[in-house]
Amino acid sequence: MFSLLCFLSLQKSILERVREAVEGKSNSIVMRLFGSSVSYIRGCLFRVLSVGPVPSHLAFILDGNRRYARKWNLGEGMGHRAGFLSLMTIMKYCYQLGVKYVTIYAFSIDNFKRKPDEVQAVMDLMLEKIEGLLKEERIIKQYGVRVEFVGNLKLLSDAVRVAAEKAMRATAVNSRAILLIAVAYTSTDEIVHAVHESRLDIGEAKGVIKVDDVEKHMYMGVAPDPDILVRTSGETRLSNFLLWQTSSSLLYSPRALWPEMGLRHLVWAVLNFQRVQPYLERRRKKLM
Amino acid sequence: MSSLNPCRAAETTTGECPNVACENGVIRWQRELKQEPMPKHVALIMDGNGRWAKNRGIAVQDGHKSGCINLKYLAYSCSNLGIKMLTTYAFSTENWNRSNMEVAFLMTTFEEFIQSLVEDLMARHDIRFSAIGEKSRLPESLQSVISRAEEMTRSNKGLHFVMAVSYSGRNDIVEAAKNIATKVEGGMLETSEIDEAMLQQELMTNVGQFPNPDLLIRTSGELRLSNFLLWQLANSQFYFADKLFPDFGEEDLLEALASYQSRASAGFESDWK
Repeated sequence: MFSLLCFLSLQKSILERVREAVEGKSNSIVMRLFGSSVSYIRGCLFRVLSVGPVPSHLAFILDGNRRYARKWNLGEGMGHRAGFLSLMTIMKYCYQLGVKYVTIYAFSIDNFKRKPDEVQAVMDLMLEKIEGLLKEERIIKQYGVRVEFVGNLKLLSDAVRVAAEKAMRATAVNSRAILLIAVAYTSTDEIVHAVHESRLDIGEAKGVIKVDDVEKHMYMGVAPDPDILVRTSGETRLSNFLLWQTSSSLLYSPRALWPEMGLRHLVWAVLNFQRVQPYLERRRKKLM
Repeated sequence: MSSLNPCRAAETTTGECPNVACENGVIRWQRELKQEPMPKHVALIMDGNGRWAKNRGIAVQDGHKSGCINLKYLAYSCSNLGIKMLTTYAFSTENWNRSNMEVAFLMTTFEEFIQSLVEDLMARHDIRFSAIGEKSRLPESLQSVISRAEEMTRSNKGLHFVMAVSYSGRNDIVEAAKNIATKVEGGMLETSEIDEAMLQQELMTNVGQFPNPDLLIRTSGELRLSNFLLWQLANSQFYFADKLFPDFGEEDLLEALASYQSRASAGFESDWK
């Protein structure tokens, strides 16, 4: 098992593959053979993992894009592009493994406090990414992915909000796998919003707010609580992400930067999840 | 920096940790640790008492007793290091599902612990004690011990020791929401005025000067929050220690603080996007 993991981690990094494709130097037949044998081995690995419980919801904090760009002396903004490629790959692995929900932390409300130029640049990048995501029809169609934008969407610029709503409408029919993208999101804002809505629901009737009322009105109410929360680049903070929902989630912080996140990290996280899952399941049954 | 003997009393250890090795470890970490930035508020999930007892073939109750003794030593250390607030997760709402015997034992242990903590630390360390959680579910005797301890130490200016008993992070938030809802019904507030700052003020952790922990330490290698201080941990640093709680001594605490300081000096500016 260990040597298998070693072999898989020797896969060419995403960056090198991109570079080869761009420079037209790849030996395509060899690459194709190599690619398909790796896919087969990966499929076998996922079948082995599926013997144990497979997490149904994975959440990711995509930390480390800019550090990656600096580390490899890439141009301005290339770190984010490498990060986007990494996201597509990880999504593919998750859905192949049988994970139904994947959540990513794209943009926090705190980020609006950055300089206006930087905020505008990020908004433009997000618009480009949303449109890019819709173009990645291969993955979306193959896995039947539905895209949900989670957060205080009123805070976004009109262009981005319209594109987000378009993406949500375009993929609303899919239901095999769900991708939740947290934009203009902080957990504290989500909780306050849920309290607001519960209060308005109760309205004039002097009812009492309960845990279920609050949960019903969360932006993240469309998905169950995450089983694993992954934050790359070794940081061990939640940064106001899914505070309510990660109460009993496994917290995993690999040292790898987000564009370096690979299959081995995912496998490690799932194995750790499988180790604690029976205990958590027993506790959940006791509480019911 | 003075501290009591870092190794536990002979009745609780198996003699694995000779005094000299322990003290060397402490001295090494004390040299590495700087005065700034020291976290003002440290939160602690004290996991592993049961497993510690099982590993030694002794009763779970003895594991909890060792945990209590260790907690007192850690409170001394925190006070000496200048930490302003220490919140410990003693008993969660989920723990009510444990066996009646264990729950009753824990309640008695908490009573003894609070009384001895207040007696020992009040004189030398000017400690202030508070308890947060659904206190109405606790036995009467424990409730009165808690209110007496809170009363006695209310005006103390040293380390603020907060004990979370019968606490749930989610219930904390919902209770705060209920309090705000009552104010709205009473006409003191409009629904549209409810914001994050207002909710934060209504949370149970508002008893202290620094309601949000800077550092959360969880022992026994589990990587979860287990419904502890969910709102308050929004921007806290987490430190997960592999040692079981009765083995988590001053040396390990200093290591956790050193790790916090190295991250703090590297800058907390989040790099994503």
